[in-house]
Amino acid sequence: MTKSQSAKGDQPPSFDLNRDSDAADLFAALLDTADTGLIALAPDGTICHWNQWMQSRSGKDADQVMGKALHDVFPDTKLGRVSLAIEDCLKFGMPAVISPSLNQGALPLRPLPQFAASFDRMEQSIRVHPIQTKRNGTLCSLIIRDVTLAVQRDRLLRQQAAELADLVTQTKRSEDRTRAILQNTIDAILVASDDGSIEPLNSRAQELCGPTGDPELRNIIRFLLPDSEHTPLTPPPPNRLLTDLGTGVIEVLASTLSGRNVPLEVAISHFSADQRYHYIITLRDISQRKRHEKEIQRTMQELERSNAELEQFAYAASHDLQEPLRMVSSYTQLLARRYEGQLDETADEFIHYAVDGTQRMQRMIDDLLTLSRVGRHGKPFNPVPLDNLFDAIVTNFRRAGSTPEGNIIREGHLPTVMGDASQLLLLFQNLVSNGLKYSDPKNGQVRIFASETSDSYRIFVADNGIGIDPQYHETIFEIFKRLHGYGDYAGTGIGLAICKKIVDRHGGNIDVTSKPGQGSTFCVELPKELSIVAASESM
Amino acid sequence: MPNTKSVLLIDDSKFARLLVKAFISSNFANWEIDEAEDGAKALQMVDAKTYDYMLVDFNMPGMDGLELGEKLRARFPGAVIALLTANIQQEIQKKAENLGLDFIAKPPTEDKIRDYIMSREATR
Amino acid sequence: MIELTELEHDTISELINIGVGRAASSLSEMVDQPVELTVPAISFVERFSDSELANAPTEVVSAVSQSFHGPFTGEAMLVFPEVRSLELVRSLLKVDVPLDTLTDLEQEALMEVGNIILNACLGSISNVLGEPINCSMPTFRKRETRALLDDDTAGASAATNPVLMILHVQFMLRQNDIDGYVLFVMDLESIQMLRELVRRFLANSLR
Repeated sequence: MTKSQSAKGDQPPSFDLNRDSDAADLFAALLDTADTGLIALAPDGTICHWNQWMQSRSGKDADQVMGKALHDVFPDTKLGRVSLAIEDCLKFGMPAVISPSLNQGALPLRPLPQFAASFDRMEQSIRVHPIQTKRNGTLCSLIIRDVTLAVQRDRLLRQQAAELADLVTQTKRSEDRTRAILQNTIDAILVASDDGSIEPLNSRAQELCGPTGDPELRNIIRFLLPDSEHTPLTPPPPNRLLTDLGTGVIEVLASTLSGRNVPLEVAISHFSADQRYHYIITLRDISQRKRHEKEIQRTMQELERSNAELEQFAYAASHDLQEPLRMVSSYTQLLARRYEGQLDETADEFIHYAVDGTQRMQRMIDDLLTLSRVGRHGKPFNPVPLDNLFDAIVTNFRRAGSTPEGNIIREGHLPTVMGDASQLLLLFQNLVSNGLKYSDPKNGQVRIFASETSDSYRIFVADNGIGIDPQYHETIFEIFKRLHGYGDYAGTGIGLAICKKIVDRHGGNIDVTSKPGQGSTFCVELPKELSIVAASESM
Repeated sequence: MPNTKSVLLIDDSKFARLLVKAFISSNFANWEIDEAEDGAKALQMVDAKTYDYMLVDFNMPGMDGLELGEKLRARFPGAVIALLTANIQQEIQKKAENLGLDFIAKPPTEDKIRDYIMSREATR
Repeated sequence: MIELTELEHDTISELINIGVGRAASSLSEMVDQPVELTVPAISFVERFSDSELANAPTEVVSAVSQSFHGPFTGEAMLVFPEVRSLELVRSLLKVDVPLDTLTDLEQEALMEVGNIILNACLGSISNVLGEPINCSMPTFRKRETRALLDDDTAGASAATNPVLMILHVQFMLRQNDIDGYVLFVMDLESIQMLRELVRRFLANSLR
């Protein structure tokens, strides 16, 4: 001040703090422009200053409040802590901090308009301070700051923290679940990235690729992955790849250091993440399946071997039996021719039985030979038009004179099937002959018709004969199963067994539906596409 | 005061006992004033002697003033029992009231103690 | 050396107890739940390093301090290990979303709690002894225990050897008990003045 005074010479200063009126003006202006609430209380607790800020925020003019105690200005507000703080301040000269958290809206002041929606009152941070004056003893000042914004931020922060904590809990829960699922999956699961790294994802994968697992396995997997340009390929030992890669099913053999060989089926899928390509490799232990496959294979081989032996036996037996039988047959026929009527009646009868017996035996041996040939002397399969086949059958029967005109009836068109033409002829001839045999010779009738399903043809041979009791429907296809005595119907008991064997060889089915007295219907079902077994057998 | 009354002061603070004792004896000469520093001691003493006034500090180690007050009230339904404490929480005041105890806010002053006893004497 | 008779010690202890009792009442009313405050022990030590607090020199503590001057001069401090201070403020404010450190608002609340307790202690002494004590606005500090008494303003008062009156205070709230300390850091002269005032008061009262 002194400096400016001297600089301006004798001119009195325009503003002088030492002058009481100037000072009062300045301080009043300062107090009124302050962005905080300022209240001063006289020693008796009555208000002696109330600045502009307080007027606007409380809605009470200075004139209204001067000389009143605070609780008279705000009669509806419980001023608890504020009152006590003022009392302690005036009585003991104690200052006080009044925080917004412990005293929400300590004074009933209006929040700024932007906070009005979420706050009824302004949030305040108040300082209560003793002021020692020379003349008036201890006064008390209240400085009030608007901290509504800070409180609002704090609320927001907590809300966000709570949401975050919630999110973390949820994420963790779902992560735990995913991990549990992964860990408890029986299959080994690994993930491979396009940089060539392979990471086991669960404990089973760790087992197979870990320290006691198969050291070669990662290499094998790398070899199987479509894109392995980052790592040079070393083909795994051939005995470790169980299947040809072309078939789509990949099976590998893991050989663990703990000494176990585990056949594994490998499935590979992929996904993109972090702008990189990853593969998920699933390894399924197929030891069990492999064991079953082997077992089935062994049983099949065994079965084939014993079937072949049986056929060989049947052939040899029937072939070798023919020779002595022919001799017996020739001489009994000779006996019959030369000595019929020369011996007594009983002798004639005996000779007749002997001749009949040898003839039947001849037929049986012929049939047995046929049966054994079905397996042994099959011809390659060709398309066989069944219409033509049945034409030939009808002609055969007519030529043999064994059947009246018009008793073999075809209904509709018959399909063309794949098969061995001569065996199919034998099959249907047997069925037609069977149908006629067990029918009234005059009115006997056999109907032939066909139907088709999506993958097979069905050919029906139906007669109006004596029918078959359902209890025999299964067994009639077995060899030497005759339902009737030799006297009633001719036959060796091998015919239907031959039919069955032929149908089997063609990969089809044969069955019968019948009721005694109402005729029988035999159904032969032949596949449209030959199964691999039947096709390879036909080669 | 023509007749003599007996007072038991129970407070773990020797200073507090001295203070209250001084206030009482300067206003009520010849009254018998005994002291106990905790609840257990007080219960022993009331076995031997019946008191007209029992002034109990709330904040004591071991048994607190409310517990002791409850026991004393049960044995002496007619005695004047007051709880002295600086802790003037509603909850404690309410408990004291329910037990039929009077309530004197600490710190004790001569005026406070004298006025209290005078008012109780007047209602007897 | 600080030599107090049993009665003098007891007197100071009672005055402090009256103070914290009043503080508990105020707090309880403010937070609308029962708050109890007790002072199980008061001790005097001549070196901070002798105090129980100094046993964990690197523990971070929150402290609210107010300096006081009058017939005796020094600094009063409410001190909690930081975790305890968090617990205290949060159970007083019934906070359900705890954050890792004290927020500004929580810090100010702790400051108010300290202010109420320290004022009550100083006020109780001042009131009974009949001598006014002036004290400053509370300030907040957070630091390691060993640096608790370092004066970050000037270092002038710290240069003189302080004597400490240490009150172990215990908050009993609805859920938990929280232990803290109130420290009165005074020079020897001040503490002798305090003792002198206590003696005078006793002599007057017990005439």
